[in-house]
Amino acid sequence: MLATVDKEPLERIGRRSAVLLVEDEILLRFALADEIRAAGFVVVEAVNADEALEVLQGPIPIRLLITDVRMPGLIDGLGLAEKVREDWPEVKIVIVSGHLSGAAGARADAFFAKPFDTTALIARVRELLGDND
Amino acid sequence: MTEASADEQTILVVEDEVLIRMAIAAYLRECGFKVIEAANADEALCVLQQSDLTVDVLFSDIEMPGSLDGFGLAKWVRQHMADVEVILAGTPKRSADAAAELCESGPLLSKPYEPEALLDEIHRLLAVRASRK
Repeated sequence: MLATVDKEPLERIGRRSAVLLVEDEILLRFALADEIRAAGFVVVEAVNADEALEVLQGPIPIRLLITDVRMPGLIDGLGLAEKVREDWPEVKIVIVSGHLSGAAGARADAFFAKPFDTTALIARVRELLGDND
Repeated sequence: MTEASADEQTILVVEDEVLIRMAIAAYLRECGFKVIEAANADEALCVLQQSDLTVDVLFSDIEMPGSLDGFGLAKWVRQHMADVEVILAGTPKRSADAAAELCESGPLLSKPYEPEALLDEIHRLLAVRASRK
């Protein structure tokens, strides 16, 4: 455990738009997080829905969720999106899926089918978050 | 705050508790490091075995779910990637002697640890390594 969670970097982050990225494949997650950070966003990484929910309940204000559909654990990406819609309605939701049909019916602000164009995804994230960074 | 560096050092942070991982990763990024986040040893090994990723420092929790704990991960790194500096974090009583064997030049941070102490150790290890080259 950290003796004290260093508040300063977290406070700095809090003033900027934080994106929550949920993806269980480490190399995909890291590569995408890296690109979104390079685009100027703060990215918090979670490996599954449980971690994502912990983050959402934590100190960082999350403004946008990017989630894969297939994930280990009791809730998949669609279940997570549903829960986020209910409990954090202001959070924008981007669903990424291997098969779009699997994500049909999910309420999200954007869908991207894998393999997706990262530039297009980042552009959409920018759009959804507006210019207030 | 952060020094622009052509050779950004990369820290692989391995921690299964997402809020801790998030906080320490954010802190280390603020300090100018590139940080790759892994939730367990399997993810860490995946990253370490990627030939196009260079990890300079492994910082890992000891107690973790999965096939390897922090000790197992540190041992693997010692055997296969001796260039990577290792810092472990865990409860001191249980871990002290075993950790000393594994990281003669590196420390065991007892939890709870101060982020600044971690930062100091990272800088120290990297400086020692640089002076060996």
